Amino acid sequence: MSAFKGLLKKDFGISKFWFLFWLIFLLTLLIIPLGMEIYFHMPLSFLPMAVILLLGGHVFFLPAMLLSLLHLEGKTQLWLYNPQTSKVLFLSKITVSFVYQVISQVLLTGVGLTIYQFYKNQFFIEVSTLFKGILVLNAGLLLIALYMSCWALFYWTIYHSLGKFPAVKNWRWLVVLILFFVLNTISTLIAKVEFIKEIVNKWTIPVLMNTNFNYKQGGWEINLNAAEIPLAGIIVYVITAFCLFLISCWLLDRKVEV
Amino acid sequence: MTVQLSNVTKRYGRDFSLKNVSLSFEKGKIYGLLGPNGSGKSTTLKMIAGLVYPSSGKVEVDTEEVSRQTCKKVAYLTELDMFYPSFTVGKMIDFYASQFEDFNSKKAGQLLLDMKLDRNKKIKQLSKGNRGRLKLVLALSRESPVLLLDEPFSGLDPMVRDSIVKSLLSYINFEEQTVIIATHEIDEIEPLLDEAIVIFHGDIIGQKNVETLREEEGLSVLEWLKSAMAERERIENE
Repeated sequence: MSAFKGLLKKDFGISKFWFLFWLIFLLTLLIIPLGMEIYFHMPLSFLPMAVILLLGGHVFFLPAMLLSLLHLEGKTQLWLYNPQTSKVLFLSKITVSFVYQVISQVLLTGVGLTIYQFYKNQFFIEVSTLFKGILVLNAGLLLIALYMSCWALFYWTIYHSLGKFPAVKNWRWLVVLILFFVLNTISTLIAKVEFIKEIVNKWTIPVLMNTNFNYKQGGWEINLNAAEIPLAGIIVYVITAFCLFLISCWLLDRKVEV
Repeated sequence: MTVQLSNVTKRYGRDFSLKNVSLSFEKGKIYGLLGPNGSGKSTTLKMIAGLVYPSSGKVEVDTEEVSRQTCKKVAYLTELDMFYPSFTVGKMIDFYASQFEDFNSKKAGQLLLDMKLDRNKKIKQLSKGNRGRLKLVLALSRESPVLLLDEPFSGLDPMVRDSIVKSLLSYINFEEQTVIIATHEIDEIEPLLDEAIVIFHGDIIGQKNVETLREEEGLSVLEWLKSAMAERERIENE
C-alpha cells in the first residue's frame, strides 16, 4: 500500500462516522420540509428551497470537515510523526473532505432531480439549461469550498504555530480573529481601487448561474440567467489559494510542534 | 549512526526546557535519559525525532540537521496517547506499515503474538497496559537506526513492565541501533543500560558508564541519580 493510500485510508477511517451523521442530518433536513408540504397540502413549496439552500451551504462543508479532521490531529499533533511531507499530509485530508462533499452534493442534486421528475410539468425551464445550471452550480460550489478550505488551513496552522509562545498561547484565537479582519479589510480596500476594478472586469466568462426563484400558482418558476465571471478574479483566487496552501505547509513543517 | 546535540537550548517564553545542552549518542549503545518529571527528557527526545525545534543550537542525526523528515531514521515511542480510538490494532499496524519504509510487518506480527494482542480488537477497548504494549510493537517493528522510548513504563503495572523489558531484550538490534530511553522509573531498565545521563531542570548534570559506575564506584544507577540530584539542589540553594 502506498503512503498516500495509507493516509487516505486512515483519514476516511477516522471520519466515516462523522460523514454518516452528516448524511442523517441532511436527510432530516429534507424530511422536515417534505412533511410540511404534505401537512399543508402545498406540494413543491418547501422542499426545492431546502435543497437549494442545503446545496448552497456546501461551500462551508469542505472547510468544516477539514477543520474537524485537523482538530482531531491537533490534540497531540503526533500525526506529524510521519515521513510524508506536509503537502501530502494536508492533501490527504483535503481529498477525503472533497470526496465527502462530492457525495453529499450528488445526493442533494439527485433529490433535486427526483423532485423535477415528479413535477416537471410544473417547471418552466428547458432540460438542457437545467443540466448546464446544475453542473456549473456544483462545480462552482466545489471550487469555492476548496478556496475556503485553503483559508481554513492557513488560519489553523497560524493558530497552532502560536501554541509554542506562552505569552499568546491563551489569546491565539484573538490573534487569528484580528488577522482575519485585517486581511479581509485589506482585500476589500484593494477591490475598491478603480484601476484594479477595471482590470478585474476586463475579461469575463459568461456562465449560467444567476438563479431566480418565483413561486407562481402552486409551482416554482426557476430562471437561470447568464452571469459574467471575471477571469482575472478567478486567477487571483487560484493564486491566493495556492499561496495559502504553501504558507500552511511551511508553517506546519517549521513552526507547529508536538 | 550518531545523534548529536550541540549547545541546544529550548525556551518556552521565559521558561527553559533545555539549557545549552551538548550530548552525543553512539551506535550500538543503550542510553538512559534520567531525571524527574519536567526535567527536559521528553523535549530532548522530541527534538531528536524532529517534532520540536531548538531555540538555539543544533540537533543532528547521522550528521544531518534534524527536520520533520528525520522520523524516517528515528523510531519514537511517545508517552502521549497517539492512537485513533476507532481503529483496530491491525489497522494501526497497517497504517504504520504504509508510512514507514523500514516497518517490518513480520516482526510486528511476532511482537503482537508475544504481547498477546489481538489484531481485530478496537484500540478504544484496549486497557492502558495493552495500549502501552501496542506503542512498543509499533516502535520495535521499525528497523530504524535510532530508537527513542519516552517513558515506556508510564502508568503500567509490574507485569506489563516486565514484558516490555523482555521485548526490548529480544527485539532491539544491540549492534546497529542507538537506543535512548527517557524515564524516571529506573529499576526496570537499569540492567539494559550502557550509559546513564541525568537531566535536571534542563541541564545535564552527569553522564556515566553504567558498568564503571557499578564496578568502580559501587553504586546503582538509582543511587547515583539521587546523589547527583541532591548535589545539584545543594549547589542551587547555596
